[in-house]
Amino acid sequence: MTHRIGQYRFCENFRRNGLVQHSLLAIVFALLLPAISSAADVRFNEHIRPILAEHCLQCHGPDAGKREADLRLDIERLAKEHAIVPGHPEKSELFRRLTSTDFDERMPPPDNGKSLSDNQVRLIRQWILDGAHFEGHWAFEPISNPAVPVPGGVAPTEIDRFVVSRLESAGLKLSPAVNRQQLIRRASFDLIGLPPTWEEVTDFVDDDSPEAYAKVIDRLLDSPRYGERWGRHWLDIARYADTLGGSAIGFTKFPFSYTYRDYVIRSLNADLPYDRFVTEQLAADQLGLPENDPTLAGLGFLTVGMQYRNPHDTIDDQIDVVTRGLLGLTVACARCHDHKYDAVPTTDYYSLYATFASSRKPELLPEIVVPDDGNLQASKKYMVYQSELKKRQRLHRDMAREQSVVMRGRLRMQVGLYLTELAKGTPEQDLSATFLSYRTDDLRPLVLNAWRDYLKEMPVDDPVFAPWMRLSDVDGKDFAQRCSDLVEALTKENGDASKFSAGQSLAGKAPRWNPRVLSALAERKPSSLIELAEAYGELFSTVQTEWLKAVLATTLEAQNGVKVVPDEDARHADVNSAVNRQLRHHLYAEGTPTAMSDDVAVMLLNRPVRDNLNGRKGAIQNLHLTSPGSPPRAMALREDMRPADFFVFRRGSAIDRGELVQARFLTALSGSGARSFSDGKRRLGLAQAIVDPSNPLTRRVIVNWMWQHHFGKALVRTPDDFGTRGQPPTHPQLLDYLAATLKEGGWSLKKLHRRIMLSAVYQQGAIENSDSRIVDPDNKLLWRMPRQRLEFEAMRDSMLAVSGELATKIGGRPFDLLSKPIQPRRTIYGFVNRDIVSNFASTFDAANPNSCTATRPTTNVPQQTLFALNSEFIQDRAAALAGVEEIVSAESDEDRIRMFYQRAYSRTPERDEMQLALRYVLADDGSSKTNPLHRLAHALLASNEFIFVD
Amino acid sequence: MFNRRQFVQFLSSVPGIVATAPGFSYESSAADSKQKLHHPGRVKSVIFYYCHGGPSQGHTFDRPSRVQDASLHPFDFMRCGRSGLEISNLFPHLQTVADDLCLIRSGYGAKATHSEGGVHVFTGASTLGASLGAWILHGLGSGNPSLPGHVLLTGRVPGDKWAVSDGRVHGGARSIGSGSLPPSLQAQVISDLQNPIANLKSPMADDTQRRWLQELATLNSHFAARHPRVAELNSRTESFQTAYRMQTAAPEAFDVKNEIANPALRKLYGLDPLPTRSTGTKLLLARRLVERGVRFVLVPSMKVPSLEGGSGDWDTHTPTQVRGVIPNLAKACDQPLAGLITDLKDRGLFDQTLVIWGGEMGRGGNGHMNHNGNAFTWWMAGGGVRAGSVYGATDEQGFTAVENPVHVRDLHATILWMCGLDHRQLKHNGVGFDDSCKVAKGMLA
Repeated sequence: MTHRIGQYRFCENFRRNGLVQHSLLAIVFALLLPAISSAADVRFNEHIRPILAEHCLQCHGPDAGKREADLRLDIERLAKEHAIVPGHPEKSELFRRLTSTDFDERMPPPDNGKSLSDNQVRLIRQWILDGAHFEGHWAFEPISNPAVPVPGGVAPTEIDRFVVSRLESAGLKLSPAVNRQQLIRRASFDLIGLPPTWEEVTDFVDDDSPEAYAKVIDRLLDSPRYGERWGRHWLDIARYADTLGGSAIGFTKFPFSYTYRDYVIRSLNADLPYDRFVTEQLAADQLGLPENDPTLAGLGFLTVGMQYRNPHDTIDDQIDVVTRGLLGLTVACARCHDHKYDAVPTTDYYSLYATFASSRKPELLPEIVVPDDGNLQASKKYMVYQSELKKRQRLHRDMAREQSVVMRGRLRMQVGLYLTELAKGTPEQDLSATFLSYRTDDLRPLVLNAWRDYLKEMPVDDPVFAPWMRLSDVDGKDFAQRCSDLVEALTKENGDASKFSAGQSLAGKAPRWNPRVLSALAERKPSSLIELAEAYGELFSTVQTEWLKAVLATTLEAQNGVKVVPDEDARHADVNSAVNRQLRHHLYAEGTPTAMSDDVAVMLLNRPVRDNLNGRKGAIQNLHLTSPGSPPRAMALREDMRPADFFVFRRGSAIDRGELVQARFLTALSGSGARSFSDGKRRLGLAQAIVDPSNPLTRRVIVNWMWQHHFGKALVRTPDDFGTRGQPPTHPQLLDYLAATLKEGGWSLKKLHRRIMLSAVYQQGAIENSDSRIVDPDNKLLWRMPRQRLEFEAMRDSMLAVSGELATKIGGRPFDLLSKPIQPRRTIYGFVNRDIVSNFASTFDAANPNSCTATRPTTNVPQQTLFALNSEFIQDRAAALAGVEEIVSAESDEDRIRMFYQRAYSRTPERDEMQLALRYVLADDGSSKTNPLHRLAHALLASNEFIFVD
Repeated sequence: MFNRRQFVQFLSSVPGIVATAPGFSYESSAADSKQKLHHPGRVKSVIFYYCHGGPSQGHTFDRPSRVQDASLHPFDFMRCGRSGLEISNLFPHLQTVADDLCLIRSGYGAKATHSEGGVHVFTGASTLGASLGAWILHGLGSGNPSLPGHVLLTGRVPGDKWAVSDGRVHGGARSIGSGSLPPSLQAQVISDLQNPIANLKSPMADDTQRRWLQELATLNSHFAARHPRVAELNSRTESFQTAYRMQTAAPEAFDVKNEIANPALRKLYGLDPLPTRSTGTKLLLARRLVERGVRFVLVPSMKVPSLEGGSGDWDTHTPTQVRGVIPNLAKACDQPLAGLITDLKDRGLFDQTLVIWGGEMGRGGNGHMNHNGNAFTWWMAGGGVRAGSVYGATDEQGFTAVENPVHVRDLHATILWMCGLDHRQLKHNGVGFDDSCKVAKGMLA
């Protein structure tokens, strides 16, 4: 299929075939000699697009709102119509403006600080001279199945052939392979985040079979520790945390975030195909699974993010995690304006908004049955939990129900308040921004909007509101006259008043126009819409009062010993009156502004009542969180079968509605004729569009991300931005090759791990080489293995592993990382607080739990070394290592030191190392309280060799 | 035995360990974080006294010329100093330093809910979601490699039975976070003055520790010998020197013992009266930290007892809260802030330090004491601001900024500007600030 990139339509004669042929040399040149500017070297995607993106597109790009001079430089046709004459830079307005010496003509405007360098101007000139060819942005081009190149040197696997031929064309080669000890250590850290045991090292070193290394990889991939390692990487993408976020006072915990974390670990261990993995995380509830299926927990991907009070922000967070995390696109900036650099119009953003906004969290999350929970549902503690849950739910519901009745009753007395406000022309209120510190007489914006909408849909011949409808546009000075004319006319139409006065008759009919409205207006003689509103208000509060009295009276008729009143008795005049029923319709009928559901009514309560009610809800949450019998529940979503209409919010403002949007996929990826997602299965539609094999981004993004976690650096160094502002891949063909093989392998991530790790590129050393460094200082061509520092979690886990303390329990509720005595569980199970990010985690660059993180930065702060120097944690691990049974019972210090090295470094010490270590241990004069062996173990754990993967 | 100097020399002589100073506790790999000013800027450090809950401008620094309900406005104002700034009588000490203040009465663009408002007022200008403090640290670099550059001071001093909370920031971690800047730029939360930074205390005696570090250096040199010229290894090795220094430098910086024993300082910061004791101590500590090169110190207000029973913060909705809570909130910070300004001047630090007072929103509008994003007041004092001046104005009721309105984002751009940083050039991986930020030049000295 051909891919059309939204409104981007690029020159047809410059397609991907041309790209493949030229690319090898050209890209190497482009990489290594970016300043070159002779003919044939200047390429749109490598040279020109970044200049346009950085310097021009902000005002002359996709964002229609900010576009200046009606000029677009991102679309070839339009650019050439207005600003570029191919082959003639001096005739091209673009070039003329770039080089103009006139302050007013010069572009970019000299005062915005974005001027081009001389070299950039030269590139533009050369590009125009060459014919100003445009190209599609690489990431939106279909994934190709590139031919595997044939390099001159040794390249055992297909991956190697791609890398080695690139290296060769730059005169470089791979570094020599690491030795077996280093290789198994690297493979273990990579796949399970832990060092190998000494036994595993020696088994591998002694295994002469050609499959020895492949066996190691398979063993590691089969280890349950694999899911814990790669699950943590995935949780970075999923901005996983165990608290709701944004809390000003303390923090509130998610009772069930852990079920999502465990879902991720389980799925990765089971090698769930990636397309299925994505689909479950977006739409597990729409796959026809049993209602207690643990897969539902996958929806945590959408629900475990920061909980904003404002629903728009919560949806924004979902859009961001899906687009940046799964597609490598920064769609969230299209919330307020068309994307400035990529083809993402605001309508695309709101199409995704409509996709997510039609789902909500169920009041009670579904219980799930997870493997190995010891048959919880049959246990005593579960029964205890269930009965307590019912009790607390009842306490909450009883109060909510009653307070809702109170709330609705008051709002029915206050119709005048709202109508008056509408009469004043108060604009629509953004409900998301309202705060809640209500008194009984405070206006509820939600109710005001409801009245506004209700009256908008009101038929002009409604018996009660006809006068309002007909008078609401009348000019001030005519108002009184027009009103009295209308009342007179309508009264006349009603005819003989005596005919409808017999109120108690059940058969009694109301006249065409409600007579109480007419007489109220005749009496009040309103001279403005505000006065009309007041008249209506007064009437409605009278009607409401009469009704409540009548209800009380009729209720009391059922009192014991009271004489029965006949149904059509005069005392039932009010209840039976059709005229009053017409009025009461607008207070009580379904769909009227004051007949809201309990769920809505409780949001409107006065602050103290609401707080109390929330406390009761909190008691339920607390039970979920703390009861030993509380079963795991999926943080699921339910989608409305008949969702509301959604609109573009102009400039991101929820009260400034633009065009109606459909729930559908991004135009840049599906063309402008994208079909809408089906109602009730919008998220499933989205998931299918994301994992559709023709989607050029999804597979590229995931293989790039996997490459990054194996090599420390990704092929596309901006793994969450494949757009115009991101970086192009260092190895475009290799990226596509990996994406293609992912699909061929049934989207299996484990197969891809294996393929990558069996390559010579992966097995090469991390050795510095100054000759290579000069040619390719950033190691973009992979002439050596980039060295990686252990991440926060791997560091902590590895210390526990080396000291023999690491617990292997999988899953369950989070534990406190700072608790004493420490819990020797893997760090992925530690409590993640997004309200109070622990200094421990942030010091070691742990992922920001508030937004999707594709790459963790690597900083170097002294607090890290203080941890290595002084922390109780590292000292306790050192002591535990020195206290390991076989070490204590060893015959000599020499043996002990050897075992330290084997455990901590996966190797035996060299002779001089042994001498130095022995000298350190023996030189101890006994003046210190600590044992010299403890201190040696401490030094080993603090050393670079422990912290950096070789 | 080694002394410290010899020890450092020793480390420097070990192969693979470079003797140059390791820069700051934060070393970014990003090319665009060069610690170079964009233009001359005076401010080297910021102390931000954050009023939790959204302080009412109409009761503090922006007297409304018309009030609808006089019972909501029981406090008088006075024109003070040569500049004649009008300041509420709730701040008698700040009235005496009026000529040092720049009252910004035309703030707008705040978000009128607390949590979102807190995040917005600290990070709203940044397209990376990074807080102002993180950006300033990123832009200026560290002023002291042995101390964290961005801190939040909270907590109560022993014996403070008056304050009702420790002091927090609305919006939680996001408000003081580093967004997509490196995580180490986020504020270090210091809530325990006895143990301000984790792992500072060595379990080993100094001699033992130095011998241990020597052994560690040996281990690292073996590894470095196999991996020559690798910057990551060197910088980690070097950072042990920094960490070693921090063990003494950081406790010294946080140790206010000697200063709080000084009667003159006790009086200046109000360390004796209960209502000012904790705030005074934290501001005194803030001064010690900026004196030592810390870039951004955030001190959030605490909950205080109400004169009419109960307690509260700056989120004052009702007449009772106005009468009961605002006087105590003002009292808690008035003398300490005036003392801080005087102390900074005495030490010649005033010109390079920016003191800010403000919250996440203003008050007024519908209901008259409700949350208000359309008008709020901050004041600033010190390096870079026009002293004894008023910037902007609100309408007669003080509900909307009408003259020289200055957006939350503009305040960020302006503060950065005072530090010598241009928000248009300040970037991380090519991304920085919202396009719409403008520097309010009228505030600058």
